[in-house]
Order: sequence, then structure tokens, then C-alpha cells
Amino acid sequence: MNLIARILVNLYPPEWQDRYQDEFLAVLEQKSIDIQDVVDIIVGIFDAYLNPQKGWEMNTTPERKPVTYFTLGSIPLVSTILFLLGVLSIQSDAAASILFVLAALPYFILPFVLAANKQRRIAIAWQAPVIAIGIDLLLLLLTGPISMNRWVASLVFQTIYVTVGIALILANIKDNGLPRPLSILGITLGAVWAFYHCVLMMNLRSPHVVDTLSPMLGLLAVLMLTFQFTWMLGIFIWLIIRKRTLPTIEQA
Amino acid sequence: MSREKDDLGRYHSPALLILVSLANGSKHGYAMMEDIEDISGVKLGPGTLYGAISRLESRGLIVPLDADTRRRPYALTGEGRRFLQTELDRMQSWSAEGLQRLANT
Repeated sequence: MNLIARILVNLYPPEWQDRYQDEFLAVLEQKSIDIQDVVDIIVGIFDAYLNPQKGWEMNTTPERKPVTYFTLGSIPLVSTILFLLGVLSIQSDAAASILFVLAALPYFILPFVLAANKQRRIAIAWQAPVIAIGIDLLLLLLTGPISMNRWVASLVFQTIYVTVGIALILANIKDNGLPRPLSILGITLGAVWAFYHCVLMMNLRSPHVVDTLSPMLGLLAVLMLTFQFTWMLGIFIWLIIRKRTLPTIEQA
Repeated sequence: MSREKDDLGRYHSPALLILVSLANGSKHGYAMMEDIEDISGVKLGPGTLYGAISRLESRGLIVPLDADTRRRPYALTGEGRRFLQTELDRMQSWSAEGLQRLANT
């Protein structure tokens, strides 16, 4: 639980981390963390994004290493390999292919959410692949429950992806250093993403609802993929034309 | 004063507990959690603790002192002391009223 709590601390807003992270980690080291504390920290993270306090930006941070293209570029590369593996295995094993495709999605999205959101502290974007791999492992570990209980698996998957959509919206609402069109695209993608998976979640209780909405679902899926790839492409182009490495806080 | 109280939102009670804890001297985060549990039985989670600390600090009710290694102690400001006094007086007033009403029924 202490490890989970320490990882979660990195999801606080960068300004909050600049001000409180060290002392917060010192508290966690002294305390035995239980599940209630983990939930409390998650609520605290949402609160910190929704209610930023004045004075957080007044503090300095130690020097951090910039992230290179290799780090950012390797993440979607792994994602693409997983995705292709999933697609290629569709013919032989449908269940495994779905798992691969689902497991690939966090690689596509999460690092960019974190990278965009932590642009001023981009050095800690190395944590993005760690979190993405964690989510992947979680999904893979759910293989057993998936085969035993489709309802639970669907609920878990859809909840994760609705959360990703909301994270996308939150990460792009405020000034995160991205050009405005990319932020607007990110918000739109997050909204379509969250809505799409909310609709899919309705399938858990009322399958006929999704049957009647299937043309709209198809349209939403196409929109989602279009926004997703345009957004990722936009970020790559922006990175290329901007500079070789993303700025550290001292350079920002 | 009431505006500050309203601004604290759902962190009002944790914030008051922190102010009470700091009333007899400065403390760092973990010491506050221990002290608050001792005096009130309330276990503040770390997220709630720092949600309240950040609000109190931004309103000038507490102030961070120099860090002792990574543990940073906090102390009440004059404004924080006045705010705590007002809140405790208010609580004492409605507490007395509640007890009075219970005694009359």
C-alpha cells in the first residue's frame, strides 16, 4: 500500500508537488498506509486539480533531467506493437486479441496525458510508462476474472476508460503548455472517449440499449479514433518543431 | 472571518483540528496526525491533511517553518489564532444551546 501511495503522489498537480511532495512523502514513510489512506489520497488528487490554492507556484524545485524523444517515442512504439499483436491474433484467439488491444490503449493515451499535464516537470514523465505498464499488468491479471465473469470485467474496463477520458479533459482544460488547438482537440477526444465508454457501460444492464444505439456507437468510435490519432500526430509535430528535448522547469 | 470559513468547504473540520493541534506549538504533518487522533479520536488521512494544510496556508492561518530534514513544521499565525478563537467560541455557543435544549426535554 505504501508503494501505491508513493506512486499516486506523482499524480498530484505539478505545482502541488513542487510545494508539498517532499514533506508528504515524509509523512507516508512514517505512517502505515491502508486502503482508506489510498482512497483519501485519490480524493485529495482530484481536489488539488479542482481547487488549486494560491502560493503553490512560489516555490522552487531541484534541477530535473529533460526527457528525450526516445522516452516519449518508445511508449507509443510498444503500444503499437501490442496493438498489432492483438489485431494479428484476432483470427486465432478472439479473447486474447481483445485483451491485447485493450491492454495497448493506456500506452496510447496515458503517457500523453501525463506528459502534457506535467510539461513544466516533464522530467518525471518517466513515470508515465511505469503507470501505463501497471495498468496493463492489472488488465492482464484480470484475465482470470474476465473469463469467469464478463460483467465484472466489462465494468472494470469501461470504468478505467471513462476515467482516462475525464483525465484527458482535466489535463487539457488548464494551461498545460500545449498549443490551444491541441488542447481543444484533447478535450474533445476526452469527451468523446468518456461518452463512448459510458454508453458501452449501459450495455452491462440493458444490452438492447446498445443494440438500438449501434449506428451512433460506430460514429463515436470513428470520431474517437480520428481525434486520437490527430491529437497524437499533432503532439509529435509540435515536439519536433519545438525543440529537441522538452524544457525543464528552469528552462520553462 | 465567515468568508474564510465558508471557503474551507468540506475541509472546515479537518482544518479546525489542525489549528487546535498547532495551538500549543508548531508540528510537522505526521505529528499533527498523531496529535489529532489523540485529542479527538479522528484519523486524518494524508490527502485530507494536506488538502486542509494547503487551504490554511493559502489563507495565512498557518505558516510553514524551516524544514527539519524533509519534515516541514507549521505554526499558527496571529490571524490563525484569532480564527480558531472565533470558531471555538461559536462551537461553544451552539454546544451550550444544544445541551440546554436536551436538558429541557
